[in-house]
Amino acid sequence: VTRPPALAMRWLERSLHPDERDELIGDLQEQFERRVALEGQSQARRWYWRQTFGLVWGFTRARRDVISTSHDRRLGRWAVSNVALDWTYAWRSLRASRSFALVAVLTLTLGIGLSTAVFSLVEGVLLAPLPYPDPDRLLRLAEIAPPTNFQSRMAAMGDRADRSSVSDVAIGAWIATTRTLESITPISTNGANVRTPHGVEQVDGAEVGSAFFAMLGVRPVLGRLLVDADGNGNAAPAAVLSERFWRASFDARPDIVGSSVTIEDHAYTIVGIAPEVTFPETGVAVWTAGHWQWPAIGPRRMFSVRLDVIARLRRESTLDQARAEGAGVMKRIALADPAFADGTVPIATARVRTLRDDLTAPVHGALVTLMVGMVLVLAAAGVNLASLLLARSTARRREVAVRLALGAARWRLVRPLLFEQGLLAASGAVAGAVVAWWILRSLPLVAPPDLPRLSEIHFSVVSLVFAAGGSLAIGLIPGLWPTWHFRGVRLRHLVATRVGDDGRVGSGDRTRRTLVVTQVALAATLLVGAALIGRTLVALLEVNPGYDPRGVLTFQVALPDGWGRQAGREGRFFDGLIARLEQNPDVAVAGASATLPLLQVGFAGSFAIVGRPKPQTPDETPVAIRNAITPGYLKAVGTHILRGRDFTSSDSNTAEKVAIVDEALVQAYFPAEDPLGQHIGWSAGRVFTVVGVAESAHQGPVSTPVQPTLYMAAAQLPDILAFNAYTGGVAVRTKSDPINVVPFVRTAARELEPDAPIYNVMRLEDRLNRTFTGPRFYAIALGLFAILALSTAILGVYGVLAYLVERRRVEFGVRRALGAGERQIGWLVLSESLRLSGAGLGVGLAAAASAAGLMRSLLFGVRPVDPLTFAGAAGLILLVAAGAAWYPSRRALRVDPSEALRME
Amino acid sequence: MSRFGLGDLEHLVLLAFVRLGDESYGVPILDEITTRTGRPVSRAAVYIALRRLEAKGLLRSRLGEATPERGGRAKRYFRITRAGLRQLHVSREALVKMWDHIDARLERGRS
Repeated sequence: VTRPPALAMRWLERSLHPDERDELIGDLQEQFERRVALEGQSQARRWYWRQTFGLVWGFTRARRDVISTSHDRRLGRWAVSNVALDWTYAWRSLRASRSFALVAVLTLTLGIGLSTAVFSLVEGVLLAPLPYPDPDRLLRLAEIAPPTNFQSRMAAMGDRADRSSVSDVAIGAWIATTRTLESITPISTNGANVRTPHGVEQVDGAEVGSAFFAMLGVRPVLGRLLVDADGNGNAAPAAVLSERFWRASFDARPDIVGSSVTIEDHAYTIVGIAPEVTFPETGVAVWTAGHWQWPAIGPRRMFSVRLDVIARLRRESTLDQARAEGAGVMKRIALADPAFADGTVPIATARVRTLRDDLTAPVHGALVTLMVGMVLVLAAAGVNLASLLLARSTARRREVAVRLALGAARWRLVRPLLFEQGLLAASGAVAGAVVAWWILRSLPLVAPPDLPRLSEIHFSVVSLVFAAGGSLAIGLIPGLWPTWHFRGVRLRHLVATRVGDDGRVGSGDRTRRTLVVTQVALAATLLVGAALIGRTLVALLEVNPGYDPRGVLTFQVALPDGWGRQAGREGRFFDGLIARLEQNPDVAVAGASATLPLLQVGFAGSFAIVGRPKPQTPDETPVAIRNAITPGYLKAVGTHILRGRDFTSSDSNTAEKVAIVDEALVQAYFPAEDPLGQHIGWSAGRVFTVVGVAESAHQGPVSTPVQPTLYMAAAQLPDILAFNAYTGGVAVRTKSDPINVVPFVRTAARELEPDAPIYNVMRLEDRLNRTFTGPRFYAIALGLFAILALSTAILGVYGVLAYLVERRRVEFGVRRALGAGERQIGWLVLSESLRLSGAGLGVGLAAAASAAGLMRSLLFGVRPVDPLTFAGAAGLILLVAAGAAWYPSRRALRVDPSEALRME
Repeated sequence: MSRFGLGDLEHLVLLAFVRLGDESYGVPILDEITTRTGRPVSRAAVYIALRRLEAKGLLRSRLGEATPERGGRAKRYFRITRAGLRQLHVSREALVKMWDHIDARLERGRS
């Protein structure tokens, strides 16, 4: 028996249109039989398969061409029913309604793009594990001093913005007694002057416990990393260089391992090269092993060393056990202090959390806010899509009614819609991916500076799929529902020519209203969020920093360690440098200081006021930031002297010792007295007469409170207090753009002293602006979200009103005929608009009020539930809703009464 | 569709009808073109050409009877219309005019 291949035949049957099935398969069969007779069965079967492929392929392609180019509809009859064709139909139908497609794709693109970017960011920063083995067992230990404690007051003024360090006593006790932690290592980061083949460079260095690299599981690029033996007090000093530093400054020479390098005047042996380690901060160039002596537990001392500490949890221990252990350590330390016995000294608490939580804690609130914003935007996009689709399926009501009445399967009616939406989603996803990619690529330029793990943020495909799927699902169900669930096939649907004149409020109507209310609610919530951040930004910009950053250049100088041993060395250097700088006609005034604004380096110290009783406890001791400055410094940064005088060159080492206090210090310690002429100091020979009061200057970001500050004349202080302990800073007030004098400054410094490199050269204005980057970033992100949500809400309100006007044409006509004026008709439309947006507003503002707490950490100068902001958002939404009603109400007014009546 | 109106394959198909006379269907047409030109043609292309010619009104078709050697499937018979014949003439005339006096030069070009 000769039979063509059954599978090929079945394929043909399936893919060919019924009209041509018989003819084509019959013809093939006829020729097949001839072939069998001629060349045998197997040859013929092979031929049959080839013909089958040719037919299916040829017809599919032809159909596509015909549909896109032919004017002849009759050809459509030969359509091969396959998926490619469905896509073609979808494409055609979307092209036919371009504005719908455009709005839908735009909504999806922005919704998907923004949310993919935000989710990628959140995933990279908050969710992804740290790039070290077994990252969940890496812990950060912190000793949180009670807020009234002297130590914590000092710390609040001091260099560490983040007070998550541990005192040396506690580190010692912790190391000695732990059973839950495998290893504990302190870290101390600071600048280091390293002698490289290209000269002395100032880099970030870290002194770490010898277990540091083993704990992180880092492997060397070359040589070895620090080992336990390096932590031994009498081991040869060993240094590890970062790969980047090694490549940039040691020309990637492999023979560097084993050679000697000079760091801060000390010789170290380079034992190995480490890959990029992102902790405690990126960019550390040199690691050395710290040799610390941990003091025994005993009565508290005034000062103690505080260090950052990381630890690795034992495999068999839990985080809770480690926490309990930490609390035990704190209790033992407190009990050893006699002051604790009378209960006046509050006990410090141990904070033990995973390194990842610790790194991300500062931005946790911000990212959660962004995430919530993102979900709202995605919802807004989905709802917008839903209402667009709903409008479309309503327009198809008649067609659907006819086709259902003629016996079409529901599936056949829904299928093209599915493909249409698939096409929309695909376009939205592709364009959204591009948007997200672009946002992520430009993220490093706009991201807040405190955003950790920036390098670990990558485009997340999962989130793209999630965002596309999410917005589509929200749009899909309401979009398909009306068609799928079409009821009430009546003759009147078939003959009706006007929209919705079955005269009842259908379920589509209710859905439509619900969608609009949702849109308005989403927009209101996001608008409040954006407005709160916006007001934060404005409030920050309005804060007087206490200095005038315009036209000021600042830079730091890395002073060689050895200078500390030469009396007056530093003072001579700065005097010489300032004199040289002031010779430049572009420089108005220059001054040096032990610290510069926004560098978060300040030396907090206690002092006494002569003539007052000695404080009984450390907690009552006056504390202030001590800053040693040269006479021109306050003028250079633009901090005004409010009373008294500024330092002058006659305030020399031999003259009477003088000090300038700031307003914050006056308020804290001289609330009722005149500070001028008072004597303050901290030891014999260190007593200063207050000669001036300066305005308070924010040493940190303007969102942090000002701290009492004590200025002293650098010339009157031994070097150790003036500059040595801190890398000094120089401020230069210029007459034009500060950048113009940078080459001059660099040359002047190098010529004066080649061993003291200058670094961190920056406009003070840029330094200040950088602190606004964070709020600005969140304001822009939430602002974008809000604009997107608001525009979909406008579209939604407009759509519903236009539909309403169309549906009630007759009614409006009749009303006009019965004497209703323009105002009444206009009000009918407007009130509908306000009703919808009012309902949405209620929901949205309530949601915003309950979610605003999330944003607390982001806000400054405005409360989370701020009545003015809420009222403003409400006002804007109502205004926009009224605006959206304008055009539909014009249309309602144009209804000609006589025509409307005739229609009836 | 150009004013001269016929694609290559359409031209061949119409000519095949003229050669075969009166009524014909897919198999003989395919055979005629293949044997005459000595080159295989795409089956799908021929069937599509048939549809297109019918759509242009140059062919007319009817469904024939089912026959056992075709697995009980019906044939579709096509017949060339008056318009089809006229179109062939138009095309031929255009081609002949264009080919006029070309042969000699083409021969020279070949050698």
